[in-house]
Amino acid sequence: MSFLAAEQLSVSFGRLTALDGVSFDVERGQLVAVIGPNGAGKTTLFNAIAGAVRPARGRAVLDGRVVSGRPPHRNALAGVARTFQVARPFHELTVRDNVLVGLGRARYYRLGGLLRRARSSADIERAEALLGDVGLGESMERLAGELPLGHLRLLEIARALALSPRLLMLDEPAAGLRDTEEAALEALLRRLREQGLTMLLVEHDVEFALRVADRAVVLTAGRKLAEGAPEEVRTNPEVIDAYLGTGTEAGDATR
Amino acid sequence: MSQYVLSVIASGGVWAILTLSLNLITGYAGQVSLGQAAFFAIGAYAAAMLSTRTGFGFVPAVLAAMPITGVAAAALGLLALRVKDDFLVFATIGVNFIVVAILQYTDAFGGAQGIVAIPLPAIGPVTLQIGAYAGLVVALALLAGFASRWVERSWLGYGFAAVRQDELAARTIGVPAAQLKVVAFALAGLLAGLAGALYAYFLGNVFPQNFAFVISIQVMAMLVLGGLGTVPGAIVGAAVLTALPEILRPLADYRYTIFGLVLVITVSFLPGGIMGHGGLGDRALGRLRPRRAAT
Ligand SMILES: Nc1ncnc2c1ncn2[C@@H]1O[C@H](COP(=O)(O)OP(=O)(O)OP(=O)(O)O)[C@@H](O)[C@H]1O
Ligand SMILES: [Mg+2]
Repeated sequence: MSFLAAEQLSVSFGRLTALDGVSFDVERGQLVAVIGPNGAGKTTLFNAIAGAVRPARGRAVLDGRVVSGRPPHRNALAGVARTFQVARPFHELTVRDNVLVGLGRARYYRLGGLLRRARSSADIERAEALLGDVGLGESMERLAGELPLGHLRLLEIARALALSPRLLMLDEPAAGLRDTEEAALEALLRRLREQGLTMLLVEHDVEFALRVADRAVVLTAGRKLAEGAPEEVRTNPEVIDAYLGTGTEAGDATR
Repeated sequence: MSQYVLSVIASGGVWAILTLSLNLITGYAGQVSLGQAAFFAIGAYAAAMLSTRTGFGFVPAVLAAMPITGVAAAALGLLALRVKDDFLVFATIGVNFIVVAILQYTDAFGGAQGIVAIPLPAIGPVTLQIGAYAGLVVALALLAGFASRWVERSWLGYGFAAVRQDELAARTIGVPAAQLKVVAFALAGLLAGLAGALYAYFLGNVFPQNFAFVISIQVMAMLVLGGLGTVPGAIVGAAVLTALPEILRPLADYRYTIFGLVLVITVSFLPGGIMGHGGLGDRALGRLRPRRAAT
């Protein structure tokens, strides 16, 4: 059985079906790109897997355990981590403390752990190491609210990595990054994959996504249009028709 | 010191503890409560009834009032799971009025006559006169302040800060937001119960109107003036607003008007309060002080 399985996932908002019977499999350690035009349901797919929205039908199973329809904080403990398309840092906390909160994990569930002092030197070291990995080593003392957008995306990745995740879902991590930052992000994603982390990547920059991904899933209007190796997807006539268009810029529309 | 000054100090200590209680819910966990007087009432009535009807001594009555109020507050904390933001404000205001009405119209709670003739506080054979009592209350207020700082720096405090700033993001990294909100209310209930019990012994009689909605406004004014989310702020705010109407005696009749004004002016012009970020303390130091985290 595959490591992550989406099984006929459907999500509705009132009359709108944002996700319509989407199924795919991800093997352990793979980086799978999820691409598709605006409103295709990519973010909704992440929300369903993380437990942030409840699917009307279907389910998502991570390593034999159903994660869809369960509370997000439980899934976080089970190793489901994600970043947000619109960054959601804890503005009033320092960059370092943003990551520390994620290191708390299991401690929030036991009285003894709750009352223990946060910021043990081991945790601080771990938080700083994670921030160093994503390239925020210089900004640890700053308040998250003062960071530029690109850095907020990196901060969210570090905060997600604090969970020691088994699955990391990245929602447009390259949006708002400068070229050098994008190159650094690409290197980071490759490193994480070498470490065996399983990842889903939503990215409007299709070239970027297909360059780093092992496989790709294409969504349009809530349905899965195609799936396969980056090269197959890139040359799939249906995908070109519906999404990539004849030009090259189609995927870069917004954000 | 005169009896009068000592009694002002004792009441200031009570308000400081109650303000610290509100700080746990609103300052740390970000759940706005405008019904803190309800918890205050439960603590006061618990201690008053235990002492006048079951013969509990001062110390056991206070120690019992705390968990009683803690449990009641935790139950009300479940409200915070169902309603959010503005609606939580309305709901807590409603709870305040309901509690006062129950006290007012239920004979078991003494009705409008309240609970009278609470014995003087005594520890063992020693009766505490106002001087000793003021000392005890201030010491307990400081203790409550240290306990709050402990919470602030613990994993619990980080969890509160995360929930306050972005609940979904907090849950996404494993913080059990719902459970932590209930914990915040429970801890605040312990402190409000302590404040209420000390207040009951301080007054000697308790009436429903001691816990009217204006008291909730008063405590919010104290917290906001001092600085939401900070222990020094809660204590300074309580001290300033306890002392102000006493120093400016002619203003005493208008104290609730003053509290309302302080609330409006502070949120408009000094949102961090006296001790908070960007407050007078920060300004005086010209932003030299490094900003503290997790507050
Ligand atoms: N919470 C919500 N309530 C109502 N409708 C929603 C909600 N979230 C998403 N939708 C709708 O569901 C559809 C899919 O949205 P989703 O955000 O998943 O698309 P997306 O592929 O991530 O798009 P984008 O590339 O713009 O981020 C859209 O029509 C969107 O308006
Ligand atoms: Mg999206």
